Amino acid sequence: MDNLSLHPLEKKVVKALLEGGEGNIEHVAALAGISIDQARRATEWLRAKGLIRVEEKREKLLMLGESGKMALLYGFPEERIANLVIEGGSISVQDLGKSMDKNELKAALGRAVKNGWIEIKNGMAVAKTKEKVKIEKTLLDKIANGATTENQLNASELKNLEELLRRPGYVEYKDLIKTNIALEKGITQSLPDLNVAESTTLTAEMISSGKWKDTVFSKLDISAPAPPVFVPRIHPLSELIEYIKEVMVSLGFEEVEGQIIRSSFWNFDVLFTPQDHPARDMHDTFYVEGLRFNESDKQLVERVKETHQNGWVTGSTGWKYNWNADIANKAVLRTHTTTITAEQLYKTKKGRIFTVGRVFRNEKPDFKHLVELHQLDAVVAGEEVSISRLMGFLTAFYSKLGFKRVKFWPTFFPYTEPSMQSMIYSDKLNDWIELCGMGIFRPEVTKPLGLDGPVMAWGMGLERLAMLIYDIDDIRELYENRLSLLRNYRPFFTSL
Amino acid sequence: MTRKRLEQLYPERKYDDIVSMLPYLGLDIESLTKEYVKVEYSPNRPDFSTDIGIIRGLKGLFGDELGIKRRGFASGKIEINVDNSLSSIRPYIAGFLALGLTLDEDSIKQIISMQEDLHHGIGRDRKKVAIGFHDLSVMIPPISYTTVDHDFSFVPLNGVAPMKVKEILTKTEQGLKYGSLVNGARFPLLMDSNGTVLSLPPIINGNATKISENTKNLFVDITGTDNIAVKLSASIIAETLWDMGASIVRGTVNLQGQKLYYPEISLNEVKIDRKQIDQLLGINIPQDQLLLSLLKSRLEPALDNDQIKVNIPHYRGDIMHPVDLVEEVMIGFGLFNIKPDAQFYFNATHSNYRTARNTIIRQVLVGLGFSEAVSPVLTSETLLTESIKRDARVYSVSFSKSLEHNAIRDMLLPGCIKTVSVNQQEPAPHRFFEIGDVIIAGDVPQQMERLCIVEEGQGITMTSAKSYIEAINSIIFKQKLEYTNSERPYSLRAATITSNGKTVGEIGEVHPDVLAAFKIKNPVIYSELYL
Repeated sequence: MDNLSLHPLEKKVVKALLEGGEGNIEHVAALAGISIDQARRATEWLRAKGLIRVEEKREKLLMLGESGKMALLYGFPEERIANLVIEGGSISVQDLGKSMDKNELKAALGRAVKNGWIEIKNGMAVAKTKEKVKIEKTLLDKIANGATTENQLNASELKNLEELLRRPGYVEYKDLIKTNIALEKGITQSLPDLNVAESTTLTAEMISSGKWKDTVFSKLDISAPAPPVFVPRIHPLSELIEYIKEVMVSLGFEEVEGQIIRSSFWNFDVLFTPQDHPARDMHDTFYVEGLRFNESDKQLVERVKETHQNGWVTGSTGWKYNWNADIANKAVLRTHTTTITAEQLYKTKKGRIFTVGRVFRNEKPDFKHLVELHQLDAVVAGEEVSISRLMGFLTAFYSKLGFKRVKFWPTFFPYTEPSMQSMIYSDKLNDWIELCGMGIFRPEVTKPLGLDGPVMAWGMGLERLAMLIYDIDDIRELYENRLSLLRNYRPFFTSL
Repeated sequence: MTRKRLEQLYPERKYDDIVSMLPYLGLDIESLTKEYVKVEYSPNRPDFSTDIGIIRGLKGLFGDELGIKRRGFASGKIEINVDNSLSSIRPYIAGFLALGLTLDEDSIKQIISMQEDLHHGIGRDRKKVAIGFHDLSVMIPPISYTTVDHDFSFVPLNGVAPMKVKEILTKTEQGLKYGSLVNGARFPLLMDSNGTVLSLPPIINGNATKISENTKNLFVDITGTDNIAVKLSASIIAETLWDMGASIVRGTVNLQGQKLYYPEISLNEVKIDRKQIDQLLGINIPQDQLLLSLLKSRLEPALDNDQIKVNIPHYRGDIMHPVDLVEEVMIGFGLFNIKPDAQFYFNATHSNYRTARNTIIRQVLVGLGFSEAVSPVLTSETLLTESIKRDARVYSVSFSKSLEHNAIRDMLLPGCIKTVSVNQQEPAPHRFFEIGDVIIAGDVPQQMERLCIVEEGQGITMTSAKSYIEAINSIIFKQKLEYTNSERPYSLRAATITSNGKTVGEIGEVHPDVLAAFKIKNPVIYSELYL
């Protein structure tokens, strides 16, 4: 046999057979140090090459049946019945019926009577001996302990076997195919070098040289722990904001952006917030030091001033005080993003417009409060604007966020009338939570901006929603950038 | 509001039904038990500062009482003479009598809380309005509203001995808190014809006229700097005391030869187009439903062709414009009766450029192994300057309640270094990026959007920082970048990045002193790009 080339698994099997002698597949696999599956494949290949023979021997094996196992533990039924009767002297057949199946009882009584242990008189079983009876169980014992072929039994045991085979369920035959794998004779000289290389990793060199074919890869311990890999991700707030923007675009809204530092005029006065309103206090609003604005649209300033003082032509009474341009010129960190959407409306006069941006409140930060939050603000102008339409937009908006149950209440905001707030039902919290506030801009807001028709608006802070979605208890965690959160937060859609 | 009081004042309705109606009156339920319900009312409805006022609204919504309860406030002889010296200090006053009250602990509590709410809200912390309740039985009218100097003395509320005004200003809690509202040479004072001091508004009342559970007849004074707020407060208080069972006798104020009577009894009239109501609510509300809704909101409507003419009681100071009546209709009609209308037309639109671009930047950086950080825009001045050895002008804000948030960031790097610092205990890799706005201080604020990347680790070099920048540039900006060595106080080595002669960012290694200050163990490379 020239040019005999063997697969590493074949080599291992041949080596095992040479060193350990013939045997079954388990024997070969164990000696070769490979899995049974690998051994099977290798013997298949070797047989095809004519290097080994695989002999199959059919054998009849003796095994104990259910009744045989019971008899070994508790005695034969006739033995058990007889001993019950012997113990009590006599027992009615009816009572004995409580201890075993009717047919079995009948057979057992027959055998006990035949063996001369008891007799039956007028429905009573009466003992004929005082000593308890016992049937030898040598054969059952022997079979139970591994005497699995007939040639392991002596003559009396074979006779006993013949009797027992007549009783169902005591001893059974089972057919077994035994394989024996052995080397073909006279092939030893033609075998190649049987030494096999082993490796844990496949290398580029093995791939290019083809050496991997002569390599046995060590068995994988896939249950062993693997070192953790950390996944870089976008920030949870970004995930939420990106989704909310997508929802708004799908509802036909265009995104706008604007300045963080605003004049008080645009942040408050344009939105009809009187100049002595508590929200404008330094304890609530951040004023930027050393910075002032001067609104260039003097006509707008005049209209806003008149509206505050006496309602201008808006039909309002106004706030009836002396409006002061100095106060309006102060620079603030925007307290809401409505200042951005309002300015956009002033330019475009109509549209579905939204913005998402940061807003600032002079608060002492704690687990529920931050000085800086993200706010969504949306406005609709130049198409049908009404309370029921506003509710319609909100219902669609919430539905896209996964919230199907919505409630609306009347409320108050300084620059909308009528005003509403809304609640959504969170299945996760099993409770209603307040999200968006909304309303129709007051004419005192829209008219000075040059808008003739009504404008509806809604807005919400995003951090509260983020806390709900991402299971965050302390709002400050959202801005701490700890990798434990950034790497492990549950994505939006699996956590609603 | 306690259940006990609600059941006693409004026995016709069950507690649970009342509670479930409260939100539809525009009241926020803050907490609820079987014994009490705590609500928050909006600042436009100071008439809801007592349970009496809320029940007035509820009775309307339930339909148990509709419209305005007409009442005659009697005109009596109680006169208040105003001295001319007040005109530049605290010129306005209203006063009236509330007779035949039966006060108990609960009703006194409601009166006091109304007084506090009005002081705080309409009164702007007593600046515009200060209110006093006095026991009429110890007073001898007429009342004079005059001024005194700081040596004048009387026994202040809950005091035992007379105190001089100047002592009250410096030694009492109220004096210290409200003294600055009247810090001239003369101080407003209310006293009766016998010289008994009622009050030193807006600071403190006198002890002599203090009310108790035995008080039957009250004199109420409202002083202030804003006549509208004074009149509105007088109307709200009179309305509430009237609902508590008092009969109201209007006071006569003699002001510079004029005779003025408070509280006002005339009704304000506002007209609104029926069309406007339907339009703003988005429904077609039948005529009688419309009238009923306004009656339920405790107003008095009348049809006037295509308009509705609505009489408004004086205590409803919040109705400034016809649209305010639309909300009254909405509340009276019941918001739960208006169905969402989602039949809006399809409007094709697309993502804003910056949003779309930033999504790609995030993808690229996450692909490069960077975690995204989000830090505050309003951060600490120390972080922006000292902590990174930098001297720069940044915008700061006045009176921040937190030192962590007192200046506006003009670059992203300090926040990113902080992010590396807080994650020292977390397993590597430590790669972060942030996209965000910064504001550069100058004559006008210059708001810019930027991207900052930082990486901390053993053996990290500037070369890898440059590789990242080139990778981002090749995908997003596609510009030709040039690097020029430059110095930064917070960098060991740094370079300015330019494109076509314009600065577009910087790149560098964070200075070891800064690393030590932030307790960062390994080298950190960074780049900040202008987007």
